Amino acid sequence: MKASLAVFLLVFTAHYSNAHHATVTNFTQEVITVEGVIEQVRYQNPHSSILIKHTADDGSQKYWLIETGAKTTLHRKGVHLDRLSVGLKIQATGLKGRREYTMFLHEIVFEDGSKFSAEGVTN
Amino acid sequence: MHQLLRIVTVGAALIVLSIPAAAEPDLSGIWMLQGRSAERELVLTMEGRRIQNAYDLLSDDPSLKCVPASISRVWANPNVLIGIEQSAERVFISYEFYDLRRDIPLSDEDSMPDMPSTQNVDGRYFKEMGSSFARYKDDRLIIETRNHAPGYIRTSRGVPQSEQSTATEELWRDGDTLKLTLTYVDETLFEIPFILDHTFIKTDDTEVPLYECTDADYDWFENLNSPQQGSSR
Repeated sequence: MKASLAVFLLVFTAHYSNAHHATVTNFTQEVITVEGVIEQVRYQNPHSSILIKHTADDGSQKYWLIETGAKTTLHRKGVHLDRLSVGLKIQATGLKGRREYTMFLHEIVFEDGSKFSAEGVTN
Repeated sequence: MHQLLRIVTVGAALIVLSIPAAAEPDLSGIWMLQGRSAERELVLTMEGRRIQNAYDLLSDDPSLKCVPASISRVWANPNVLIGIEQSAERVFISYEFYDLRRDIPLSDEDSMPDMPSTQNVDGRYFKEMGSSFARYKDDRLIIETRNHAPGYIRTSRGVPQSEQSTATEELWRDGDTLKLTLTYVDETLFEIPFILDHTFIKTDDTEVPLYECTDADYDWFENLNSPQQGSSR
């Protein structure tokens, strides 16, 4: 992982132990933060996702797949992805995936400092 | 004395006769898993351990292709609806997860259909869900399932099922909740029966909506970061 990538290792809290099995096993317990520009938003079952492009200080670029719950789960929990428009610069925090450059979303911070939370969405 | 004994005997018989026979449980409605499914002791055979050790969640999970890995996997998915309809001849279960429809005759094993009991709304059958038949016993619905295709009872840890696996589902009402105990027996995979317990709450929904599963294809994403794509500069 590029040194320029903002990665914060945090203590895994009991909160995450309630996550669905698939979420627990597809993602590590390491909490990371990645900045990037939204390239695509997929609102679907069984997993919705946000594709972002991260540009490091040296100019190199990598795509990150920020995964979240199923469309049905998000809908039932009142979480909508409408605010996540292509072209927006965001900072996403979540569990690092076992697949390279993937993450399970906890929170997004927009450029104006406002936040979008998907915590509690497990599948 | 004989007269007294006769009165007591007749009285006891009348009391017994006045107790209604256990009615078939009313399981109809739309339900959702409450909490998580719980599993009891898992003791795998050597063959069971071999399959589990070879399992790679990132590539072997049938869920990646919108395929139900097993009956267990389908019952255990959170935040999705499950509809149950009962008639005199059959039980019909609609799972929102993967849009599965399971048609189970009330019959014995001799009348068990050869075809898998489960198909999705597009008409694709899933042998991973086996062929089932059902009966009522006391206040419970008992569903027996055979003829499975190999799959996974627990996709998170690669707990396998084989063609020899038999599954018994016991469903009953406990107040406002629906209880399910699912027992897998397979001498090739388990030293002791593998048992899972579930609780469901009734919802206010009137129908099971379409799920419209999309394959979790990661190839397109991994290609984005491959050197051939020139995404790294």
